[in-house]
Amino acid sequence: MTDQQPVPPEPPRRFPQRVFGTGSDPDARFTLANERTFLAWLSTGLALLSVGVGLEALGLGLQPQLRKAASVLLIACGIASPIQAWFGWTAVERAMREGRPLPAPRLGPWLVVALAVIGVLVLLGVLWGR
Amino acid sequence: MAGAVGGAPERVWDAGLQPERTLLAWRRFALALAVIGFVLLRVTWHQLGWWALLPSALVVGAAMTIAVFAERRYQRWARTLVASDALHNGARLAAIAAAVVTGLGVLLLVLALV
Repeated sequence: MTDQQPVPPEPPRRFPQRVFGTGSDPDARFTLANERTFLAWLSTGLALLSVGVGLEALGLGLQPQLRKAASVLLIACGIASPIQAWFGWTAVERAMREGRPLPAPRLGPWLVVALAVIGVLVLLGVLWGR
Repeated sequence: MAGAVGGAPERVWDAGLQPERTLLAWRRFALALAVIGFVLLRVTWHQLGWWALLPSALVVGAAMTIAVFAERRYQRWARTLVASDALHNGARLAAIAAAVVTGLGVLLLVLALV
């Protein structure tokens, strides 16, 4: 073999390739801000799970079926949050790498609606409770 | 200092201390996860008995692992940012963290509905 130039080593492949395989690195500060947004969604999920479980555990004199419904819906929101966290992160990171406008959080409005419904359930649970 | 937390002091890479703030966000998340892991034992004891130790230990273990990896990740960033203004970040830790929270939620949902 008569290769004249050594091939530069490939940088380690970054996960996921769907994101890092396209475009180019944005300013590191934007990537870090995106990561903090991701963590904020995760923490929101933990908080929603905690409230959902706490509601069932504490009872609080709420009407049982309404309380259960609110609790289950809260836990469902707590499952939706890490999903939004991940897909929101990948969508924003790709958009930054490709220089496109940033997408809005897809599950955000649904979570808002769900939280309003949960509030109503708890309110009714209080009114019809012991 | 890019090595502002736990490392030798170096020149400031970012006056807004974004890498440091990101590390703190990871630490907060790991702490919250660990607390929930411990409380999980109390909350699932009634339904799972001694089996409650399993999800609780998994969550607490995940929280500690995430905390350790987040620190190492930050130290790597501090070096590469000062050296080349680039982050070379990956999302494996993030994927694991999201999977842990999702799995925890699914477990709690199943326990609530059963």
